[in-house]
Amino acid sequence: MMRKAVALLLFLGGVLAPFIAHGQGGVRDLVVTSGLYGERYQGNLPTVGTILQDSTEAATALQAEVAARADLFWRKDGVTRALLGVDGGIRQFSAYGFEGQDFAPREWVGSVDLTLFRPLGAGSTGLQVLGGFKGRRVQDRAPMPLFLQPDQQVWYGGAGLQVGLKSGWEPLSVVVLSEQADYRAPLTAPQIRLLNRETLSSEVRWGHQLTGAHRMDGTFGVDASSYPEQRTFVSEDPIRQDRTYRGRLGWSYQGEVLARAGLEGRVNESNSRRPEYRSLTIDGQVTTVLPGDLVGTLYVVLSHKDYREAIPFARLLPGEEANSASLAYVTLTRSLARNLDGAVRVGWSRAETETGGEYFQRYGFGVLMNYRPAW
Amino acid sequence: MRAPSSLRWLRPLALAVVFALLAVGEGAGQVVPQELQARARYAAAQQAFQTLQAEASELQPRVAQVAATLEGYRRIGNQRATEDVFVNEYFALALRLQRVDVRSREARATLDEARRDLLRVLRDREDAFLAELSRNPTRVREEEINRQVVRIRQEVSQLERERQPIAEVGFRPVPPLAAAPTDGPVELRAKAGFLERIAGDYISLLSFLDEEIAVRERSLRLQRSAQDARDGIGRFDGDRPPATGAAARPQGNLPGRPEAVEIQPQEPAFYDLPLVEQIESLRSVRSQAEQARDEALQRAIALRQLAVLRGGGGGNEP
Repeated sequence: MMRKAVALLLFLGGVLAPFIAHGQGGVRDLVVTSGLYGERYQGNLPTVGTILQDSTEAATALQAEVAARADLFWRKDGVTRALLGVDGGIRQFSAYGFEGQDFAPREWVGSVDLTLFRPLGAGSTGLQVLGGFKGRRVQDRAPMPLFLQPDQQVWYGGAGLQVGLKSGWEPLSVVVLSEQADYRAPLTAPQIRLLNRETLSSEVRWGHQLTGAHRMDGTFGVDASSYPEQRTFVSEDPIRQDRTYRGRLGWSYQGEVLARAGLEGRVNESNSRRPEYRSLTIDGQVTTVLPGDLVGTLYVVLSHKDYREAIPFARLLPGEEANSASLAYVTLTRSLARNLDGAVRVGWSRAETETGGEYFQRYGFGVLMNYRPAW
Repeated sequence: MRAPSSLRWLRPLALAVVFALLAVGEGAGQVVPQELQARARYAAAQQAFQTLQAEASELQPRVAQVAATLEGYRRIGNQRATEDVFVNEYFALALRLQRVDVRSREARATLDEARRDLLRVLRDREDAFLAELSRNPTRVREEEINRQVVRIRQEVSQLERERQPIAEVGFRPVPPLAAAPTDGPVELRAKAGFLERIAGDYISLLSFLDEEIAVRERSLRLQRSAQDARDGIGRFDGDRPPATGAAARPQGNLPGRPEAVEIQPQEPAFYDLPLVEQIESLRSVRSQAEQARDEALQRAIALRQLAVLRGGGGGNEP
C-alpha cells in the first residue's frame, strides 16, 4: 500500500513539477500539525476490525500525532486547471485499562486527491477528471472499546461535466466515479475482507449564491456497490449488491462568522436484507472570533438509522450496524507566533444500537499546534 | 456587506416604510421610492466614478508622453526646452491628473456608500416580500413575489461582486521628475512640493490597502481555523461518527474550501479569487506603493536640499 502511495505521489509530483517550475502553479496552503491527546473509550459494541476481545467496557489512551496537509494548484490563462490535495499523518497510542494487557497501536493514514479541469468554450462549461487514494494502516490494534477504522486502501477515479447555468447560479456538476476499497486482513482476522467493496457512483451537485454571504448547495447521488466477499446464500444472486440513494441539502454563511449546516438522507437497498436501512444525518459547524484573540469552532453531527430488519448481533464497522450516532467537537485556536497556531480540542462521539443496548462512546481532550511554513 | 453601525437605525425605518407602502396596496412588482432613489444615487455615483476613471485614463498617456519629451530634452541638454515643457505642459497636466486621482478616490467612497445603501434597501425589500409570502398571498401574488425575490437576489449578488479593489486602486509609478541645471530654488521647491503631494497619495493608498488586507486576513484566519478543525477530526477518525456511512472521500462541499470542489472555468474576477491570492495581490501592490512613496519622498528631500544649496533658504512652500 505504502509503495503504491509513494509511486502515486512521485507520479503526481513529476506531472505537476514542470508547471509549478514555470510559475503556473503554487501552494495554496501547507500546514504541519502535531498534537497530544488523552481519550477515554467506553462501550460493549464489538467490531469486525479485530478478533481480539477484552471484557473491559472502559479504556484510556494517550495519543501523539504528527500530520501534514498541502493544497496545490496549477493555473493556465488565469483559469485553475488542476488542484492537488495531499494529506498524511501518523499517531501513536499508549492504551491502558484492558483486562488482558496494555496496547500501543500505531496508525498511519494518507490521502491524495487530484482534480483536473478543462474548459469547453468560453462559457462556464467544462470537463473534470478526478482521482485519488486514501489509505490506512494500524499496527498492534487494540480490542474494543478502543475503536480504530480497519486497515484499508481506497482508490477512486472518474469524470464530470460542469454546466453553466443562468446568472446567480453556480455551474451544475454531474460526476461519475468508480471506487475500489480493499481491506487488509491479517491471517488472524480474515473476516475484515468482507468489507471489500467496488462502487460506481453518479452524483449531481449544484450551488446557489444567495444574498451576499449566504449560499445553498445540494447533492443527489446514487451508489451501486458490490461486496465480492459477502454472500447472500441465494444461488441465483450470490454476491451482496447494494444501491444507495443519497441526497444532501446544505447552507453556508461566510461573514464575520463562518457557519454551515446540512441535512443528508440515505436509503440503502440490498439483495441481502440485513444491511437495508434509511438514515438521516444533520451536521453543523460554526467558526467565530472570540474574546482573547481566540477563534472557536463547534462541529456537530447527529445521525439516526432505521434498519428494515432487526439486527440480533450488531458489529461496529464503517457504514453499518449502529442505529444512532453523534459527535461533537469544540476547538479553540489562538495564534502563538507569525506562522504558528495553538489549539485546544474537546471531543465526544457515541454510537448505539436499539436492540441489545450496545454502545460505543469516546471522549477526549487534546492540545495541538498548526505550523504554516512561510513561502 | 453590513451597514455601518451609525446607519443601522435606517434598516428598521426603511423596513417600516416598505411595510407601510405594501399595506396601502402597493401593486404587484411595483418599485418603492426608496429603491428608486437608492438606485438613482448608485447610478449617479457609478457614472461619476467612471467619468473620472475615463479622464484619468485619457490623461495618463498624455502625462507619460510629455514626461518622455521632457526626458528627451534633458538627455540632449536643451535646458530651455526642458524648463518650458516642465512649466507650461508637464506641471499642469500632472497636477490635473493628481486632482483627478483625488476626486476618483472621493467618488469611489461615494460609490461604496451608494452601493451599501442600495444593498440595504434591496435586502429590506426582500425581507418585506418574504414577510408577505408568509401571510399566504394569492397564487398570482405569490408568483410575482417569487419573481421579485429572485430579481433582488441576483442584483444583490451582482452588486457584491462589483466591488473589486485592485481594479479601483489605479496604482501609478512616481513621475520622472528631476532637477534641471537651470532650476532655481523656486522651481526646485515646486518640484519637491509636487513629489510630496504624490507621496501623500501613496500614503492614503497604503492605508486603503492595509484595510483591505486586514479584512481578508480576518476572513482567511476564520476559514483556516474551520478547515484545520475539520481536517484534524477527519484525518484519523473520519468526520462522520462510526456507523453512519463514513465516506472514504469528500462528498459535497467542504467548509472553507469551496474551490476544492467548484472550479471556475472562466478567469475569475478579483473578488472570486481564493483569499490567499487576493491577499498576495494586495500585498504586491502595497509593496510597490511603499517603494513609490519612499522614492517620491527621497527625491523631494533631495530637491529641497538642492534648493537650499542654490540659495533658496529652507522654505517648504510651494
